[in-house]
Amino acid sequence: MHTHNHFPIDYYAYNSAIRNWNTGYKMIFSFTAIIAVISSDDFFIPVYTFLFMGFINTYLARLSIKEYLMAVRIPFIFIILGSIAIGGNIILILNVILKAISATSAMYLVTLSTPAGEIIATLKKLHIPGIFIELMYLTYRYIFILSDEVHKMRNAGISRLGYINYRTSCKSFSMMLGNLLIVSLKNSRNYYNAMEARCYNGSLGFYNEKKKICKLQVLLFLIYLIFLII
Amino acid sequence: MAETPGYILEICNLYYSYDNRNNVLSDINLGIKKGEKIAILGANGAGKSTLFLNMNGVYNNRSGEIFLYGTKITRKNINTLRQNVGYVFQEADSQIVGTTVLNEVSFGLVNLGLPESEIQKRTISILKEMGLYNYKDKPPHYLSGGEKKRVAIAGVIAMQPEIILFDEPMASLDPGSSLMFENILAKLENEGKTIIISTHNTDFAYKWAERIIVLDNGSIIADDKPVKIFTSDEILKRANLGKPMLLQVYEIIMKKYGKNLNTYGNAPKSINEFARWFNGLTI
Repeated sequence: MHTHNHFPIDYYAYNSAIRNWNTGYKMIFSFTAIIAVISSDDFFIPVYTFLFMGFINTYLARLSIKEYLMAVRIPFIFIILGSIAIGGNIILILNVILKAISATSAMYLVTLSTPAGEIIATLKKLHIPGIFIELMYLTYRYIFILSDEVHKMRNAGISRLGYINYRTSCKSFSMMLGNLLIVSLKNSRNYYNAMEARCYNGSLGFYNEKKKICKLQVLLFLIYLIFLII
Repeated sequence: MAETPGYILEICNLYYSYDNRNNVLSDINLGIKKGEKIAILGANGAGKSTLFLNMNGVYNNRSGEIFLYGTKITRKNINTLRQNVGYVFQEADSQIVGTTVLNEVSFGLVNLGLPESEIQKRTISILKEMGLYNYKDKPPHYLSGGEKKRVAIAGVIAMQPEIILFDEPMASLDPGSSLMFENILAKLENEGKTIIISTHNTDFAYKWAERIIVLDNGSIIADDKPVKIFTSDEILKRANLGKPMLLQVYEIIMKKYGKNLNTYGNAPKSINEFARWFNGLTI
């Protein structure tokens, strides 16, 4: 595996123990939880949701607490800073922080356990317009190809002392960006040819294996809902 | 020119230009029979990849005609050409569009509009055949170069093409992956597939091919048996090709012992054949 080509969220999603859970189920579960958290007016639902989702995201998905905290770290910092910026009294700020963190943890039920391709395939079933679906597929796929390309160009720059001080770094970085654009344009032609070579005719589609919903998953959702109502 | 019986694919008077000024391909005439093993040689920029893109129908604004099983290819039936002539691109990364191995192998089948049960059946069987089944849920960006190549090949084979074009297949493969590739080739040959490989590796072309086509500056300058091509100094010089190592060794040995070099009938093509020939050589 190429370590430089490694986005933690993506990596966790592919290796999650709950990856085989039905994607639609996870999305509905997550969405329900987010709605519940946002529309709640006490502390119970956000805290409860945060703990419940934390349990699924770590224990059931076999992600260590450390990895989970690493994955949630960036949005959490953003949430805390953003909430403080809102101002107002302490209770309000705490409430906003709690709700946002809780909703994010619910969203992570999907993002930490479902590769992007599967999320997009599910969105396609919801009849999101084809153009968005294709853009999502291609963007996702080519993020990795371009990041690979950037990595190579950066190394080529470093090997010729292109990043020895601030000034050369700026210069090399801008040159790299320009080069990246040219490379992308050139490659896009190759990619399109390769798609046409396999009879691509304007609608991008793949075959995905079906994922069944098992009793445990239904039970889990029910438990969550019951406590929510109480 | 009318199509000739016996050919799966026939190309007549093909010209191709990117800018309507300079021909990248000029006056290409080719007939390809079932089960042939053809290597295409030529320097960078000689037109190998452009020829492949025309043969598979990606480029459809050529002048000249292409016949598949005697049927002329037009804009309307271009997809039959794309399906029957599979194209494995040089860079696996520029070919792979799927976000998992399973996705990727199913891509062409989904485009063909096959029923889902058929897509599932074919995809799974190809994955097993290519030893990729355990990788089916992996994304392409976590695969090694050799694995990506295998995935790219699987995605093409799944469409069950009659002819498979390989563009410099071994260019970036390590020895282990090259061996794996040669095994895949042997398997495809057993299935009676027609295989065309573009390569710079004359040793490989000499060993593997039954027919060699030499491109120079967009034209076919030779189309013959490997021994004929590699013993013609004129062709080798014009296309800037090196003589295969084994053939050079063979010539040196034959000359040293004053043997007749007029026939290359028993010239060894692989190291095993060489050992057999050399050990049996009476001086």
